[in-house]
Amino acid sequence: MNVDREEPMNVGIVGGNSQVATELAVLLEREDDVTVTPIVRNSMGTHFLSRCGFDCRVFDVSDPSEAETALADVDVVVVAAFAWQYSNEGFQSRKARHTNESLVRNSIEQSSTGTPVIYFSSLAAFGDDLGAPSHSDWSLYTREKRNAERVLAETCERHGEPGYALRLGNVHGANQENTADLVAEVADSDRVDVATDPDKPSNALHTVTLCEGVLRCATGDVEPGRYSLVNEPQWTWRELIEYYADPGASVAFHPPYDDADIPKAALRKGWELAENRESTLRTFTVFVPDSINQWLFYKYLTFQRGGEIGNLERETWVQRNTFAFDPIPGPFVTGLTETHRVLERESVLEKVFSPT
Amino acid sequence: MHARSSDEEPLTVGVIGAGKISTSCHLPVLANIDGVAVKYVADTDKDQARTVAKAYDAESVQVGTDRAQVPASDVALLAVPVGVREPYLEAFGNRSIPVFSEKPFASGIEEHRRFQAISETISCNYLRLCFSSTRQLRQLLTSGVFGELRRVRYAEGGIVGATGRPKENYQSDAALRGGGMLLERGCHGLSQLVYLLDEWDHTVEAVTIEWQDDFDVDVRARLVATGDGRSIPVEYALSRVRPLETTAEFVFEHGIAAFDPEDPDGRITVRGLDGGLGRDLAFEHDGRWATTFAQAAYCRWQEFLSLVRPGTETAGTPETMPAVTELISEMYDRSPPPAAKRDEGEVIEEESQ
Repeated sequence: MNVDREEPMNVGIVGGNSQVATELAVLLEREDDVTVTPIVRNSMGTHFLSRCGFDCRVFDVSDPSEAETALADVDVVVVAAFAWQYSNEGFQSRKARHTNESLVRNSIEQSSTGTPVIYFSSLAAFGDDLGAPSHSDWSLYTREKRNAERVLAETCERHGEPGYALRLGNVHGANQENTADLVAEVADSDRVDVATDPDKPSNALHTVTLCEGVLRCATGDVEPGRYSLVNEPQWTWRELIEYYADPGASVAFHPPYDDADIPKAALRKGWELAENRESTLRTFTVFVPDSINQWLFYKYLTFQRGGEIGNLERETWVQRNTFAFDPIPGPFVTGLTETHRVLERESVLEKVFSPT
Repeated sequence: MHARSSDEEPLTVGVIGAGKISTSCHLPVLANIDGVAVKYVADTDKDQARTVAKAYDAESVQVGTDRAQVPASDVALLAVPVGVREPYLEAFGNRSIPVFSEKPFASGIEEHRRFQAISETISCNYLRLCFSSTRQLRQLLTSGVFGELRRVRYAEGGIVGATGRPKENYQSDAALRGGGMLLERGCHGLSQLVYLLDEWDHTVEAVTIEWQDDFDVDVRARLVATGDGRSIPVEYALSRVRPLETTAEFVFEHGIAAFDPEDPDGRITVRGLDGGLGRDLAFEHDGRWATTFAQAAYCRWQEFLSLVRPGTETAGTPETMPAVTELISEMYDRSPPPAAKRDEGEVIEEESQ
């Protein structure tokens, strides 16, 4: 890659019409000396980007000859595209696997020598390390992302090209579904109840930090390799929720049961088991003094009423499966500006993506 | 109507088009309707037809140039782009086979009338009419509990990014799709508006359409609904390039009822004028109507089947909704793409010379 360029750095984004890629394009375009070329498979996906003034290219990068044309004058390739198993053509896992591999391979082999390729992987690639049932090492999405990272590493090594696999955290921004869902829940509420530990890291990644991370890789300020990318520094759930809640709102956090508290955890499990065998266990109460029966019954009522109260729907009850995730491991992209500071000075996203 | 040999035999359905709407919606729904059996699945892609037909124990048919070659069936599902429907409709019309057509029904009002004339019994899959929220709002309107309707605001869409479609697909072909966003997507919301304001006349007062090449990407219109001796404004917006909040809002004399017209699970919320009610109230769903797309398709199929099953009381729900096609045609006519305007200008210039 020629870093001493007279022309702006041309960042080609494969899958440039995705939610994340669209927002990234808007952010990158306002950088000095950067121009963005969204590369989109279907012309129907170019409309918003074209309206924003981007010169989109309509090519299917999973095809080598189309990739060659699409990436001809690109200085950096960002691969934001991902083929899902279920699409308009039905459920085709093998075809999707092949497409995902081809997207990565062609991005490397069909771009000019020395062109960095930055692949958008996901925190899902951590699988079991996330500590959440929804993302195990055997989850299909986890395996797809890991496989694509493998193809990236092998192809880059074979050709001596610079490649970056970025495991993105939960992306937030003006055009992101994560944010829209959260704002819909917490904005305009006087009180917000959140089902998690407030001090637990959220793995959130705002697009402004994603943009900075991409630039650091694109300019070679970070060595090629695999990195995790989240806000700088990591935001807790308290920081994320309070960022989007109304300034005057009362935000209360309700951590789940702490299974490290062994006596409480054992008691809870005990009651749950007893509830499942209630009708059988009741038979044996005729052999026990009623004083003990009464004591057990009152203890059980405390547990059972607690469950009912726990199910009471609060005005705003924020629950996410991502609350169960552990903080994602590194290594992390280094040299990033504090995310809060970047968000404070960034206004272009609001102008472009605010509802009219 | 094509005669069936016995009321105990299932009603057979021929499926034309093995694309996503058939595989994700119609076929699994049909498989769950008692007394109905898929007889064949036809597509120009023989492999796709075979794969899909196998999953439903049906015959696979590769469609060629002779549309009349499709096998006989009691009814037919027409799930192909609007640009290629007419030959099938003629073939089915000649054989008196009732047709359940996907939306949009037709690309223009003349075509719409022509299609209606071809088929004896024909309906269109405007499945949003079967959403619980749509039915409940119609009840509110017809009951008059909130007083007179004063105005309507309808907005649908938002920034469309990933399409999930392959490079080559019918939506990229103007001749196949027959129209653009307003026809393909807008027909749904307009079907809801026309159904909710049943027995009102609907006209276009003003419209601005933003085009990219020959595709409409943003529509802003002022419609007028006239009925009950008065007219009310209907503000209409549909976009794939502006971040809109999708909503259908009905402002009455004594309150405002709103719902998400796109979401089958959407609930009607009611609020007072100028915040008079305090906190918004939300309706529970009506269990008789759909809260998922599959349920809505099922309900719409049942309405269609009531037209064709002997002795069944008909559901009395709109079938093809020509008023929807008229509105779309008028909006396109009044705000055509730049290329059409240039062509029109050239014709006028030639005539004046």
